[in-house]
Amino acid sequence: MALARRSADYDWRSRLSIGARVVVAVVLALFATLLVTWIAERSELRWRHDLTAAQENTLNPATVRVLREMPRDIAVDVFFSAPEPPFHIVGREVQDRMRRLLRLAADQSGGRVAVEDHDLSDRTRLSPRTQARRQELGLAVIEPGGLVAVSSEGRRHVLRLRGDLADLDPGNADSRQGPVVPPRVAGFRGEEALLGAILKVSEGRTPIVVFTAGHGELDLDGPGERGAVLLARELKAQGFQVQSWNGARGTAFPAADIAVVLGADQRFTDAEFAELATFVDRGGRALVALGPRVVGGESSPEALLARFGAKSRDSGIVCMPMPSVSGGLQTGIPQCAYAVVGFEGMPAQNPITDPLRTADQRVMLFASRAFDRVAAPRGARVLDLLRSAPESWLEAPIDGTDRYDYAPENDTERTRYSLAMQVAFPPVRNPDATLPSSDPARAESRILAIGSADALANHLLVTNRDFVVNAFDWLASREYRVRVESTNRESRKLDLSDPVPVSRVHTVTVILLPGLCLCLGLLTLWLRRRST
Amino acid sequence: MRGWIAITRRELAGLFVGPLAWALLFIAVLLQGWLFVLYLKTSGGDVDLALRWTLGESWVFWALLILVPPLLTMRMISEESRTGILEFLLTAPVSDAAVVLGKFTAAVVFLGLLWSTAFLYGLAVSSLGIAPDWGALAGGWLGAVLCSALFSAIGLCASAMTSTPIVAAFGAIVLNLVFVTAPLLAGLSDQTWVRAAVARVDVIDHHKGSFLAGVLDTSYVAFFAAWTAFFVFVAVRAVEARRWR
Repeated sequence: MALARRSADYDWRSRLSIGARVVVAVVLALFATLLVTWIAERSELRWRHDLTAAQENTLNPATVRVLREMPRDIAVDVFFSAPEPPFHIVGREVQDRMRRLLRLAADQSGGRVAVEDHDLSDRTRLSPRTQARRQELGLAVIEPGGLVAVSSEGRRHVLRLRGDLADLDPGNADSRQGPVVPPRVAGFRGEEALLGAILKVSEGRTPIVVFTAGHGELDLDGPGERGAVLLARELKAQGFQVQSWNGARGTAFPAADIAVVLGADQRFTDAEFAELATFVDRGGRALVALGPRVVGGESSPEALLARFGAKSRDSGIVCMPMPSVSGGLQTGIPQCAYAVVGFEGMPAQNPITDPLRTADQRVMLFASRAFDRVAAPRGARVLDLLRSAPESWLEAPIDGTDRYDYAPENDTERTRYSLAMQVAFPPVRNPDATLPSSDPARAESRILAIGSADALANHLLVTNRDFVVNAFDWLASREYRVRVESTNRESRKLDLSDPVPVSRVHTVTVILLPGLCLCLGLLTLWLRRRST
Repeated sequence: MRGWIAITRRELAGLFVGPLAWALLFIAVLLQGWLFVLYLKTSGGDVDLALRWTLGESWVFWALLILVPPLLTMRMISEESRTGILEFLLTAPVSDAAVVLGKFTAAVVFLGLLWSTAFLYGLAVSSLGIAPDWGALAGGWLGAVLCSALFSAIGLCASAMTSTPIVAAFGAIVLNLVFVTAPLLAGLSDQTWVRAAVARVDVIDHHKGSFLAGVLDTSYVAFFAAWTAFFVFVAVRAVEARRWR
């Protein structure tokens, strides 16, 4: 009555005025809401508390410091897909933890780390945005489980689920080989990997990689199978500056961090050879990948490697029997020239191969030469980096040609051959010598000898990308492994193989609790009816 | 304050005397319980993961959150307005804000009770020797309650704007759906600013990224508090507007 009387007092002008005031108030309230949420996001006004028992949501102080002091903004693109069995459950656990970690990092950075999660659930219908980002980041292949790409101003670093983010233990599903053990996360290293990636893409330094040219090397602009345009692109994406040097034109070797000889099939001039050798002697870094044909001579790529302790064999290329359709091993086919190196052919605790071993990745070489150790500079550490399978043999070319029949003789030696070698030694001090461009205090010279230039060519780079990136990072001393302790969540798992606990939980959650609600509801209804 | 408490008590009593609240509670608890067991099995027995799924990681939680608060709040103002009870309430010595806040508090308490079944699930598995991470569970529950508060405020707002409960429920469900699905739809856009703007009201992300992960972050609390306060404010204004209609 009172309301009706009051509303009768209002004419249309008053109503319009009140209505306008209400609208203004609502708009102001909306503005205030947005303002409050914006202010609350300011990192200086934010307070957060980790409620988990294992402090799972607390970043390592090293990570916090890096996030606070990093010179550039970082973009993190998450491309997680369904992991393959037997890791389909533990893989999801890792993905879940990584997403939470990225959220923490984004929050902690005060908006300087932008995380974008891409939906890969239906690979046939990816959103235009996802496709565009994949293209920008050069992610042609995304393996099961997926990856995280960390990028900044054209540089990027890819973290794979298995190997980079976590060590996954497949357990044992075969009861004949002992007790059945479910797959598990042996160690979650997401924070360490993320930190390393951020340091790498945000660093100010741009190491200079100089490729030799004019001796039949792979073409850095070549798009064909044996071109190296993908390598050049990859190095630029990894933050390297790529140049080439043709010493035959009389120019001096430029200031560089890494010299690369990629498949030269002609000798260097004596001056070029001396420049390269001196560069390495004085603390420079070099990657020398040989072609299948022996160049030979005192100023050849082989001689350059031999000078530092890795002597290539001149008697042919390393071949391996290939599995046939029937399951047996086959020889006499050109595919035998492909040497596939798995974890058993790589050393552990090595910055180049360790990530490949943990991720169960392989390196593929084509028509690779083999290496032997010879006298190395004083104090050198020489290591076999890639070793072929034990059934490998050295295939000599058919007399007078560059062709092979890939069929070993019965008495041909079958053994493991070294397909790549890693050499490091203290540099020779000489105040007159040209020092590498950016690091005058460089502690050691580093050489990487690879038996196959094809391993870095377009047709194998997609397969070998991680190996190549790790190799150049090692050569450039970009080892950003900030040690963050591997974290393992306390396992709180119900034993599903025992039906009793599951049945008890089922009884409580599906029968008792809903039953209690139903009984109380019926009792209320009955009481209500009785009272009326 | 006294009016607020009195209204809350009255609403709670009304809720638990009526069959609707018990029916909702029964359906939600049954569904949650069944899903908890299912999550346990699919996660390889991971108790923490199954509890997280129950409190916000699964779409079922969000489906419940879209549907239950509107059904709970649809009658709170519109039905009382239709039957004339609201007129008595508004002429009583309590403010319009106290009326709306009282009803809002009752709805949140009810939903808080609904989500607290997760603690009982925790106790159930704890009795089998596997104690969940209670801190993370508490964080998830708090987030679920804050989400419920937001959706209850939306429901009340819709209820205050109409005299037909079913219209109020429908309006609130649509609004809730917009809130929940907008970020998914914005994800299809190529425009960064669209995604950034919608991300500011992404309820799922704010819940999952903080509370459900076991983090108490003032920024996320402020997000839910601010948006809830906004809808409560609009509801109070809508109730006040009844005076001059």
